[in-house]
Amino acid sequence: MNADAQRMTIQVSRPTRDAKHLWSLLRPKVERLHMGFGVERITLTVGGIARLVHRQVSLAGERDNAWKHDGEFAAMLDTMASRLGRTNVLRAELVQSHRPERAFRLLPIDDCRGSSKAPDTCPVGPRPSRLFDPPRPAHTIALSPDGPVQRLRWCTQNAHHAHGHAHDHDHAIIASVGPERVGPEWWKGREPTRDYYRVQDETGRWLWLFREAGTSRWFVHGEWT
Amino acid sequence: MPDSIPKPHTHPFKLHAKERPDTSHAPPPAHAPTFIELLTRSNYTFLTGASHPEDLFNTGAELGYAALGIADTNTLAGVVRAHCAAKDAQRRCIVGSRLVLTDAQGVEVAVYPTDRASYGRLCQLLTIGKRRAPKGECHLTLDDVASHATGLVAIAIVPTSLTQKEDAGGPPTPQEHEIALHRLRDIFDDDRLSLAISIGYTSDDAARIESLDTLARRLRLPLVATNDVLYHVPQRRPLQDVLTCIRLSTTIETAGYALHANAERHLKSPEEMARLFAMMPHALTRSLAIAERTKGFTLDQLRYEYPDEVCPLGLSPAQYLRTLTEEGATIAYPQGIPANVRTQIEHELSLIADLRYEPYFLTVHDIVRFARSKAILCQGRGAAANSAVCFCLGITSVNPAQGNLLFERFISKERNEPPDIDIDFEHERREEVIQYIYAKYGRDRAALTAEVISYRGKSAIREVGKAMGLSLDCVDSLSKTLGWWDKGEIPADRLRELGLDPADRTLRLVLALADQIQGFPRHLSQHVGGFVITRGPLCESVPIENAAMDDRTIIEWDKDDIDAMGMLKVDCLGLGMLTCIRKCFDLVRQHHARDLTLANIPQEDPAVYDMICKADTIGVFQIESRAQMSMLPRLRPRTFYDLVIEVAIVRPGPIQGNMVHPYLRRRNGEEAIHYPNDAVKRVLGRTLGVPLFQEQAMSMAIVAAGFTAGEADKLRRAMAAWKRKGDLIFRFGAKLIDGMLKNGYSRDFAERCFEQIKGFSEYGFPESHAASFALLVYVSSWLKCHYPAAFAAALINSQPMGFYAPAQIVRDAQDHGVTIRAIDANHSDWDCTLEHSDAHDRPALRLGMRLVKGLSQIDAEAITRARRVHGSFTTIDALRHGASLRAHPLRCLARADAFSSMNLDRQRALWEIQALDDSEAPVFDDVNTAHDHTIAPGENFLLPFTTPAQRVRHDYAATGLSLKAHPMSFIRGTLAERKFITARVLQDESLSPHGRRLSVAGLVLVRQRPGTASGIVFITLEDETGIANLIVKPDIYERHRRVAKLSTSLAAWGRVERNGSVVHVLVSKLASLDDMSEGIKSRSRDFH
Repeated sequence: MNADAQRMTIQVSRPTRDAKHLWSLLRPKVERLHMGFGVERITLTVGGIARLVHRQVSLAGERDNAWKHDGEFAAMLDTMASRLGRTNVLRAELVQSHRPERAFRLLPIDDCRGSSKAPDTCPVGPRPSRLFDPPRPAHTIALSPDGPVQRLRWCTQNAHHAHGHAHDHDHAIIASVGPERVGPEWWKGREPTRDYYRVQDETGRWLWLFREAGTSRWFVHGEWT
Repeated sequence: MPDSIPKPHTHPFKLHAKERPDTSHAPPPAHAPTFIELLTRSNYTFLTGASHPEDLFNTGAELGYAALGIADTNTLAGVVRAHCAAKDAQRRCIVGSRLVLTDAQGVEVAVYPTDRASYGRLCQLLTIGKRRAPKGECHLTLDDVASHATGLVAIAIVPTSLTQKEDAGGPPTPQEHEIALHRLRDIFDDDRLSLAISIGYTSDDAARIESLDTLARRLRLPLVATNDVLYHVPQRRPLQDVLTCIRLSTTIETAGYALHANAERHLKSPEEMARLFAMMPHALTRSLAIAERTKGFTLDQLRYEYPDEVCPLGLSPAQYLRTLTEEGATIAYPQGIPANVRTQIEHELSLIADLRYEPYFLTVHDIVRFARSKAILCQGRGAAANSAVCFCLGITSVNPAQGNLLFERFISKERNEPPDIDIDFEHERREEVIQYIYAKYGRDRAALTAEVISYRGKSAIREVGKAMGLSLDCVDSLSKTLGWWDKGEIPADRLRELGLDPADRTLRLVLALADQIQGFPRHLSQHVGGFVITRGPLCESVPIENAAMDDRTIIEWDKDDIDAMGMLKVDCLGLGMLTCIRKCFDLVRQHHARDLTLANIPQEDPAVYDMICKADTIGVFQIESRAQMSMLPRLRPRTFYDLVIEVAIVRPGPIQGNMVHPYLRRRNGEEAIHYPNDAVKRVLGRTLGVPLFQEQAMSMAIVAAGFTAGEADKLRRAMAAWKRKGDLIFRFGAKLIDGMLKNGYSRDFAERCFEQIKGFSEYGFPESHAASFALLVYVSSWLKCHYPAAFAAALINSQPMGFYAPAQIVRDAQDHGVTIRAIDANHSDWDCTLEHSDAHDRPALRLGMRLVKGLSQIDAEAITRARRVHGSFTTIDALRHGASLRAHPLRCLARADAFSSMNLDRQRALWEIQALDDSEAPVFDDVNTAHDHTIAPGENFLLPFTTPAQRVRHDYAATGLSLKAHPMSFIRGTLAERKFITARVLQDESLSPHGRRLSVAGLVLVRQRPGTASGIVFITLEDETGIANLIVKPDIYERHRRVAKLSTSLAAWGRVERNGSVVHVLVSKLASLDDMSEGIKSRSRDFH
């Protein structure tokens, strides 16, 4: 009883001859393989070969931390990519934009376009480690129209995404820094100017708020975690 | 011509925006000041500042500022405009400059003079920085500042990047910029240095304010509040972004952090600044203290002083001017000075004395006297130039006794502007005059004025389009379209034709921003010839920088600035026709022993006017253009004054005002001449009741519409800016039309007068200019009429100039019975010469070697020198040795068929040159030789036969013309078969009546697209019988664009249009004949 030939493909992001690594990529696939009465023959095809780059290890030890050169990091990417699909593993790249949501973009790990243009340093101010997309609407209370925010009420979960339970927050604000005014990228379309504030609520959580010019609506755009 | 190009953005001095008819727009009075903005950059910080100085002051006045400080980067180029704008807005302009230093670790310092002396030092400082740097740059160090700092107050600006990062990331560490600040504090001791602090709504405002505050305490420096302004309103942020992109040659999408994050760098009201800086009121009051200290200086103190060496010791300028005038008058009028001229001289001298303009006239006289002494022909131009005094001084040759010109208007007392005289010199010798001026007054006292190169039409849309990331194709087609439609709205269907979506947002942004950038200065260039001469060092009045040309220096101000400051300016311009006339005078002197000058040419010669009336004017000054030539038979000039009108009538003013036909009708007696009153008759009498000159249009506003003289002057200034400030001119327009209706004029005429005034605004052409030009028209016509050979020779010897190429000049001379002799190595000089001929006293014209392509003047002159020593040469080899020539010049001459006198045709001569041994140079440098045996000279080889058509083709290739035949004659057979008629048949009314459909063919002589003709292209074709004039409407031209633009020879189908003796073909179809005419290399002259 012959079963059909089964095909498994693994991809690596850089040349490797590390059997352990290759097996770690292959193994999850082999585990799911129905082998019936046994394997009669295995054919191994290498779709592409490349020269292994030899690198000299410096006396003081490895200090090169660029992901491209880091074998272990590459191995991890391979592992993730082979499990999740190569297009589903993304890397973030900085983009020169004053609008925070456009100041980075996510690219598949194999996509190297534009990476050389990415800014080394970012001359804009501090940015939170997590951005909410879209920004969460918020209600604020201040003592005077332009005065610092005293109290903030907002909802963790975006109203449009009903799955998962929404979590309401209502806290006093104990510190506020700003405003940082970010104008529209006028060539892209009409978008309101935003005044950003870094605020800390009474629980010690640092949030990034902005007020939209014109509508005076408030949003929480991110948080430092 | 001085006012030929419309300025998209008019100098406030020319505009006088505040002298509006109603005063409702007057700015609110300045409040008791709480703050004064000192750090403002205008668009004279090229590609950084995004507002005109006028915008800044108008907005500043509305916001309630009592004064504004203008400090453009390393320049004072914009301060005169700012000063005038401030005056108009009834505010004070604090003059300053923001110095970027090479050794201050990024710290910039804005400096403001407190008195005239310190202003002079600032000018000197900038001059030093600019003279030592490449054009457009300025290299200054702290040491330079230190040695010029007396009397200057200063604000140091520490860039954000230095205060922002406390870690040692960037090259200049905090310690280093502190060293620069320490140094600046020592330079500007006595509390003259402040530290700028601004709130830009950036993320680190608080941190930066704190660190600046600490720094200021540590250095014991006071802080001064500022918004470091880049534009007058926040709406200018997009334009500022685009300017940044242009400056960095990038696009808006990729410019990234080079752009500012927000629109906060605008002029903010004192109240808002007070609110922002509420926590540091001392920084606000410091701005007031600085402003107070600058009160000791205003640009009005630049009391201009004329140079004083124009006068001999012991004589006052007035005495000396009178002496020179009297001397000149005695020579000019040997029979005694006519009474009216005498009265005029006295009138003018007293006016000059009142305004103390004597040194100006003496300076101009001195330059003209120098030119005379070097036999450089020159002619003054402009209202002041056509005065009796200038005639006596020899500045102009337009005789005041001859015309009925209005001399009383030659200087306006009311206008408080210095007199303006342009002097035209022979274009080949103008440099001698310029060097004389430099030598006489020194480079520290004489310099050329700048020409502010601004964004307009095409350049605006191209640069903005590129910055906005449009494709190059798209930018190209857009800018071409804008070229067609000029200014204003581009029709939507036109955009659709280009494949663009008129509703596209980016496209609309591009068009809107291109409109905003119109008139923005881009860089300074050198004015063609506007000299500024001062009594003291010029660099204490205005910074001087290097021009692109070696040995040239230019000041930072343009001619409008100079006018506004009342400085002495003399325009020294080059004019090709003067070169031609002088060369013609020389030839006439040599061959006819007649000494001619501009002033002694016999006046009012009927033979000359007969010739002009026939439009027989190829080569004549001004009236040789198509438009002029078709006007001549209609206007039929018979007197000098008719020529003045002829020169002025084919211009945008009269054409847009629809004044040409009424004038012609009245001249031909087809329409009654009617004057409503004597005042109007005085203004329009000399032009049969039809206003033709700019002055007349202005006078009409006074006598027919009831304007005051002052209002008429404002109208004139407003005209210049009507495209920008349309409402102002239309308010004047309404007043003009109402006034004329009240005085009994028809609405139609009144509206046409207004249209004409608008036409003049695009191309001002006053009577005085027309008169000076008319003189040269008359002189050149006279020469062409009486000495056609000398005139043609002089024209060719002055090339390139005028409308026609040597081929047409030669042909025209032949038509006038001049014998033309071919270029010959044994007879020709470099220039065309006159030779004796059998026919009476009519000399023959020998073409010069200057027509031979590839031949240098040095080689040609070696040949003529050798001929003087050896006599004629009989062989090429003898010529080669006699003149020590290499093979190349000989080959050029051979290609030009210039060895006929040695009995060698073109091929034979080339063959012989091939055979010469040329030990010093590679003989066969440009000939592909397959021969390996030596050819002996004179050896009789049978060379292949060349057809006459080929010979003509070779003539055109080597000299641009042929005396043998016209290229069209060789294809006439084919053309005739295809029913093409000749130019002669076209001229004949019986054979080609009005309205007949026909086709013509010929070489393209001229292509012209005048600005007044709404896109119509005029093409002139030439065949063996004469010329044919084509009119190509825009849609036809577009359809045949490539053919019409690039073909050497054209076939045209169309309909005959006749008007008197003027014949055109209104074209419906064009085709190239280049395949048939055997690759004739003829070059048309294209004027766009």
